[in-house]
This record gives sequence, C-alpha cells and structure tokens, in this order.
Amino acid sequence: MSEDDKALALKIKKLIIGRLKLEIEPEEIEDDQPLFGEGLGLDSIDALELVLGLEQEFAVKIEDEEVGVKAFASIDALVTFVKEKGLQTA
Amino acid sequence: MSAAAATGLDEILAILPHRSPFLMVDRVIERRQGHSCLALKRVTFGDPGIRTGDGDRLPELSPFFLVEAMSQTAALAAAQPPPETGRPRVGFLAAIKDFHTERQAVPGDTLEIRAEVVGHFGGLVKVMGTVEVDGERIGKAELILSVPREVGDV
Repeated sequence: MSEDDKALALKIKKLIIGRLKLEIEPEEIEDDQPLFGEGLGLDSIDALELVLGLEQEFAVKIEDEEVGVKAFASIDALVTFVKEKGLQTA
Repeated sequence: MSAAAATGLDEILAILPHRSPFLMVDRVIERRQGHSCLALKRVTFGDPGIRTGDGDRLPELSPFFLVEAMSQTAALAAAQPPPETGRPRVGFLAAIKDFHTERQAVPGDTLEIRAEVVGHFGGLVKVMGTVEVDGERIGKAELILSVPREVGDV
C-alpha cells in the first residue's frame, strides 16, 4: 500500500468511526478486516450511514447493494473503490 | 406528485395506515414525494400521548409522540407511489437516532413537523425530522425508515 493509499485508508477509518460514533481508534481497524458481519460488526443501518458519508466526503456514489457488497468488503476494498470512483474532497 | 403541494386529508389517509387517536398529522402544508414534507398537528387534551399532571406538573405531550409525529411525517416524505393496487409503500420505522427535545409540547400547541429525506441505500431511507412550535424548535431526530424499493423508484 502506497503512502497515499495509507493516508486515504486513515481518512476512511476516521469517517467510519466518526459517522458511526464507534468508540475505537483507527489503528484498531485492520485494512483487510471485513466491515460487516463477523468483522467490524456493522449492520445495514450502518451501511446507509457510510454510503451517505462517502458521498459527502469523497463524492462517490454507491448506487446499489451489489456495488456496496464489493466496496464494503474491507478498508482495502473501500480505498480501491474511492480511488476508482471518487474525487477526493476530504 | 413530485412538486411541492398541499396534501388533502384524503391523501393523508390513503398514504398513512394510522388512524385516530394515533394519527399524528392533521394537515400537510407541503410535500415533495421522495424528498420532504411539512405537516401540522394541533395538540389537544384529548391526545393519547398527554400525560396528565400529577402534583405541580401540568399536562404535556409525551416525547414519544413527538417521535411518532416526526415518523409519520417522514413516512409521508419517503412514501413511494402505490403498486398497481393497494396502499403506497410507507415502510416501517427501523431506527431512531439522536432524538432531542428542548421542551415538551402542551395542549394548545400547533406542531410544525418537517421531514427531509437525506438519502437512501438498500431499502433504508434516512430522514431528518424537526418539530417547531411558534417558530421555536422543540425537538429533532434522525429517523431510519425501511421502505421496500422497486425499479423506477425516485
């Protein structure tokens, strides 16, 4: 992971923690850790909050659940998704 | 209906399944389907949510009914057109986040209830709700509705 990717991953982790009011530090989220279910334990309501947060912070739109499943697989997947689709405004 | 427009009582009753005494919307001033709704509710002594005074306390509306009023207004904002037959899809309240009240509503207050759709994903819709009385905000909440979506929804 390049330095730019690491910086983006940190921004995304801070976004997740801030939007979902999680009481953890960014370092506690592994880059390859699943965000939903057994991983970070997020649910469908958290997914809605993240979709809105990513749209606001990075100008990326997650159109449907099919795209969401891929993008939300992990922090690594989100970094790739934002790099491909987004304009980094944050 | 996509443009802002007043909604008649018949349309409120057609969209919301709630009925007296739990229908918490008396009038819709403005409604943009899929986007927003501004509704009014006059609080009376006869409302089921009125907590009668004990000791020095005066009757007041239980804050749970402020949430209910915002939720019903949110449903009017987020409701999708009806399928070929049947009632429009208003969905269900899935979550309440960050509910705050500044003061309790009392009989005689007219609640101005606003609901703004923030966004949606995967059948869930986030709506910001506020309640004002005489221009003063007395409550707000983030509401998550579960509304079944279909191809072609706005």
